[in-house]
Amino acid sequence: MGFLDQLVAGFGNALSGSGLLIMIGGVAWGIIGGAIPGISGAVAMALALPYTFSMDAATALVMLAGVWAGANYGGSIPAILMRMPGTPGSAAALMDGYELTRQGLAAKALGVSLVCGTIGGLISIIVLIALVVPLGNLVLAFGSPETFALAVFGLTLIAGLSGPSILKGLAAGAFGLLLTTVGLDTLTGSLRLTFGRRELLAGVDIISAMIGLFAVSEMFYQLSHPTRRDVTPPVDARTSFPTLRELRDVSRATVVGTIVGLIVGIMPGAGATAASFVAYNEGRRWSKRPELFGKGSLEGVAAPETANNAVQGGDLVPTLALGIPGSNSAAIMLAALILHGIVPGPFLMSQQSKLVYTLFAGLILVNLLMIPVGIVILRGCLLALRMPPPNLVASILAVIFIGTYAADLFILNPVLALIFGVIGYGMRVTGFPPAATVLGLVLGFLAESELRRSLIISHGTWAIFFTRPISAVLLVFTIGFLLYPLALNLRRMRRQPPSPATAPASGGSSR
Amino acid sequence: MPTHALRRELIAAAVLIAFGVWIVSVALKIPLGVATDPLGPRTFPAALGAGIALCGILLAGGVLLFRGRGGQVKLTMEPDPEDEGEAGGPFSPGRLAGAIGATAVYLGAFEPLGYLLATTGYVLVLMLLHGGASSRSLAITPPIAALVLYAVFKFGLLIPVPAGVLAPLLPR
Amino acid sequence: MKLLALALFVLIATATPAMTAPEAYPTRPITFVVGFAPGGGADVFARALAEGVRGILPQPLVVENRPGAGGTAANAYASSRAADGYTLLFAHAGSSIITPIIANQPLLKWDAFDTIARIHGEEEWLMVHPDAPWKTMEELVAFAKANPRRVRVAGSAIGGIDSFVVLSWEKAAGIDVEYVPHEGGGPAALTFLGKNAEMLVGNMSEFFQHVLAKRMVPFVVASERRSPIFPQVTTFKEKGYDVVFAQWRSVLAPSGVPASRIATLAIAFQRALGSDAWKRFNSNAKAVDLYLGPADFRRFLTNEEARLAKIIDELGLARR
Repeated sequence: MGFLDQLVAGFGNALSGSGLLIMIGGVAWGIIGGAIPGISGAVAMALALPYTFSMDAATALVMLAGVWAGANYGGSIPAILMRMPGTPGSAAALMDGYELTRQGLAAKALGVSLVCGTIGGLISIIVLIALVVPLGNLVLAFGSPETFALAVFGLTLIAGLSGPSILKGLAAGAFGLLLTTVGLDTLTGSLRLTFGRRELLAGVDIISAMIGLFAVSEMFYQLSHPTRRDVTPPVDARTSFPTLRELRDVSRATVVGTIVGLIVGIMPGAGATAASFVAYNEGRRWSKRPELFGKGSLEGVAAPETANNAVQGGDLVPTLALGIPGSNSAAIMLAALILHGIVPGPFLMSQQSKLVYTLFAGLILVNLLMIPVGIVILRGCLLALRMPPPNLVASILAVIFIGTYAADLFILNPVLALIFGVIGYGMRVTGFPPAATVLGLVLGFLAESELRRSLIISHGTWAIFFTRPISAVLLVFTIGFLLYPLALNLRRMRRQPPSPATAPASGGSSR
Repeated sequence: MPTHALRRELIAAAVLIAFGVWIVSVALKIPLGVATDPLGPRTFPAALGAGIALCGILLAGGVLLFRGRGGQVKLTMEPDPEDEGEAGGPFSPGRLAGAIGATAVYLGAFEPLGYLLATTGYVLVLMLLHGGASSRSLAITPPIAALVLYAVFKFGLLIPVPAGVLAPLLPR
Repeated sequence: MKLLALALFVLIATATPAMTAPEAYPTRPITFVVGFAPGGGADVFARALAEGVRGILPQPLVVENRPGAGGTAANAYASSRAADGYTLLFAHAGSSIITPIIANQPLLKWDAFDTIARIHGEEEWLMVHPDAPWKTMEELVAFAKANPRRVRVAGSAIGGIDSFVVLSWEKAAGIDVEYVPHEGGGPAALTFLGKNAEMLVGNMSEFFQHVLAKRMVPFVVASERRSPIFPQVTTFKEKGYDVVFAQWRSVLAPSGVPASRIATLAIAFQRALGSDAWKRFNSNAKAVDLYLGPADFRRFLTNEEARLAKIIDELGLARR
């Protein structure tokens, strides 16, 4: 059968029986699970896994794909509405998304997240379907040095998050990086910064820390600065969805997000979270209005949200071509295969082509289904915003603590959320950007472990980062992008007589 | 010249320096484990600690040398670019302490007292702290919120939410 | 008098069945805590076991993932639960012996728990590229001795069985290779396939398909005897290196579970090994059933810990 015939047959297969209902159910569960703070996409998929045993393998995969896609969007709902990342991948959209909510434009932000995310997901699936085999070989070219270079590339965002004081931004970012070193070190087996506490053996839980730094601190701020006015103006869902014009305005950010998501997805070590931050950085760099980022730019929502959905296609490349999962979410898809008696690996595509093409068709369908299902759930969530402020603040805090408890069932994670809430509050009032700490938390583990691993592979030479083409290109771009604004500033300072009162803040900020 | 803002910056800088130095001292004592990579487990944490301390030193230097005349350090009363100060009211330290304290008590009572009772109390206290809630809200919202969340997490996600004191009354 | 005797008789007759009737267990789902992320080797094992035991136990086994700290975060969580037979814990050598010793956490070690059963195990293999220059162990060791730290072996984290295979082999053969640790078998395989390492250590369940695809070649296996999967591949032992490790997987429970419940579980797991679902999983995973009941398993663990503790000591890993 030709490629197209197989794909069409796949569609037929995916939609047969109660397939459509199952897909809708999967997407809905994914969106809801993603929206609950503390439950990430992979956790939502794992919770759905037992229900797939009674299904045949293809249906199981398609349902899990729906949960995966849904969760990528779902996390942005509380992130945008309440400054509370539902999944780590939605933290990057939070910065502009919540600003938009405070301006009464929550529905626009959520609409952009939904539509652009769907576009990113669809494009990445199409690329996957068309190019899975050649891309499978490309995966092997992305080793530890390349992943490290990507992490460094992403960390330059610290400059953009620092606001006026680059020193405070660097310190905050360094703090985030430092937190990722806590716990058992996989490279040497040594215990770091645990102070004998068994609870810290596993390290600092990133989700709880993020939720603390962003959401708990925000709630504490609202509680300690009481006002009669609504902090977030009410939103009328019907009239406030983004217009076609606005969608066209974010098209550049969407393209950037798709490319970043695809590439980062293919890279084995990095996932949706890293992709969203790198996409935010790149979206800002290539935007026509970069000064709006951080103040409520729709592009600042479009880029990261597109990226974290576009990761899905990239993640499935090594998963389907090599049988090696590209992320935790992909690993669960593989587990479903194994539990149905199918062995993943390089022969999967040829031996189980009917299954694979049904999955391809299913991936396209669930990404399309995101829009109707997402809009329905969205309307419900927007209603929640109409609660009077005291009720809303109290409910949000309650949800935060049960959500973080649910992930671990030790009171540790909620306690972490509280501690980081206090830290986040302190940072806010002293001018340190919590977003920089979150960036450090997200990329720290990747940066350190891949750096050290690269040095083992290279037998200790640092040159490896520049002798390998992909990593060299990434690092050169990183250095270039860092030096470029500095050079501009220097040139500007040389043109006018320098005066201490007007000397601009130096550093990588391109504001 | 806003000296209390200057003082705040100096305190922040001092905290950074102290924290950074402390981290370096702890990092240098990390056990080495099996030597696989040239950097080892100590390098990253120690370097980050040193970096944080350096940021503190430069921050303090900026404050002391430029005394608020601009330059690297921007001194504002509510120094958070993403936060519009006018969205909230005047600062109330009592409410902040109350919020933090209430949360700490809530987390402590979470397991022994059980989710339903602890959450009802917590939501009530938070609404009182925030102020502006009607008496009807105060009576209805806390128990409803606790019940809804309990049901969603226990029966929807099958997570064993602690029953605490009410254990004999609740379904397992 | 007769009335009293009759009353007593009735009382005893009605009470006796209640006292001697077998208590109902399990009456609700049993949680199976796994210290690794969903989709990983440990998780898939746990889910396959849960499938195998379905229909044998009246209630399902529900897998709960609590990843972190080399699997010991799950140990901590399980030990805090009631010992009523409704919480079980996944255990393998890394999470129940090696990591608790390295991290100096005796309360998280296997002996702080009740042993239910050892279930199955996989062999540890060393793979090389198809174009590798060495064909025998002797050639490889000679090369490694002449070129210290030149041969790179990719594997999972330090503290796991993979790392122990390589570290023990280094000691036994007097060679110095570069061990490249990763978060799991998957990332290690990618490093190897990308030609960033000369060798790869791990389980055949993850590698078999790649051997069929001719991208990996099994070089040596760390078992007592040659493996039926690739009988032409030698063992470390044959070559004179006492490197024998297996990735066995098992079930523990918080300490203090009633003996009757332990017995019920152990028997159920043993019967599960005969189920079709389990057999299919096991054969695909190239694993071998290694069932041991509660008492035998405890004896095995005592010996295994003694063996591994010695190696940990020699490697200088234990915290003082």
